[in-house]
Amino acid sequence: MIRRVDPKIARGSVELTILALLAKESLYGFEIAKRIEEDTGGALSFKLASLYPMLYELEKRGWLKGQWEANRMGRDRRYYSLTPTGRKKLAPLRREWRFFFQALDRVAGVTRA
Amino acid sequence: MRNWSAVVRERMGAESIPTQMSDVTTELANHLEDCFESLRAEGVSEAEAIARALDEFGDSRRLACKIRRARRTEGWMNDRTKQLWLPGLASLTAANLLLMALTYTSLPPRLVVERSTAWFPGLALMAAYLPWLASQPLFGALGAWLSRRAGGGRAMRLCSGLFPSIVMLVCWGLLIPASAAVEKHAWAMNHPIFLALGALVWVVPATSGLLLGSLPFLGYWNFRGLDAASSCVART
Repeated sequence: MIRRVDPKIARGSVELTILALLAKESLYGFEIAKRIEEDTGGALSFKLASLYPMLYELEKRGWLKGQWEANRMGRDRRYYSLTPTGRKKLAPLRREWRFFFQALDRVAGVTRA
Repeated sequence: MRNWSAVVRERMGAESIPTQMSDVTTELANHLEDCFESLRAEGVSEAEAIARALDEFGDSRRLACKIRRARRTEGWMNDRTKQLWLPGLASLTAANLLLMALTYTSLPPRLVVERSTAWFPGLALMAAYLPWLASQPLFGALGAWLSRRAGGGRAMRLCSGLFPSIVMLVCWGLLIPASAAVEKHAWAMNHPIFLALGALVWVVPATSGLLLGSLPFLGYWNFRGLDAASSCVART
């Protein structure tokens, strides 16, 4: 049985997850959702309802750029890629999360649990 | 073949997604289509695949609201206007209204320095309105607070707080010398040191006062989480 991270906890990580994925390659919405699920062994799973508002938000901030292109099957899909601004935001965001985990570990001993 | 765009429109309500966001409907419909096909390829029955694809929506009204908010562009007033120009103008207007009021009520200007030396021939008067100077922290605070309220960053808050001094600096550094040059004002042209002194008196002490008032709003100290709250406002 696949263990999923509690949605309340997972919600905060969606920004970093999307940016980290798109740093490797351009993907469209469904691919992003699927890739997150595959790469985390199903622990993280974002449905349409949580994924797209975040994609649009990141696009509005200028961190992502969406562009309609044909996918492998010749269907038009909106591919998202990181903008130079988004690429710059990724490293501080990673540091912030590392700092968060370290702090959480100190107080709650999450890595020893 | 299922019309997924119609499903999206039906679930979210036609009026929820404005026509200028029709690409959103198409994109969500594409997602449902991909989801459905992926489930079918895994051997899930059609009815089950449709149900699971539609389950992606969750609370569709909430989703429509989140999408509208995420896609909403700046209104008739852009962020810079809200975070810099309006707070700055409010601070400048308040500072100048007080100066006008002080002038009309005939509060006498206080003489700060009166000196005649070899470097400053003649009478060097550096007069400033002390009550006006003393009130500068209030105007600095007003500008920086309004900017923070509109979600302005630290630089915006600082500029808004110091706005009256920035305008004064432009007046003394650019407008008054230019005006003297255009009008061929012989006295001003021959005594540039007095222009510099004027600028010094009107800009430097006022800037210090404005800066003092702005400081609590620049986010160097967190006053009961006020800063975190304002950055949340800026992000939503």
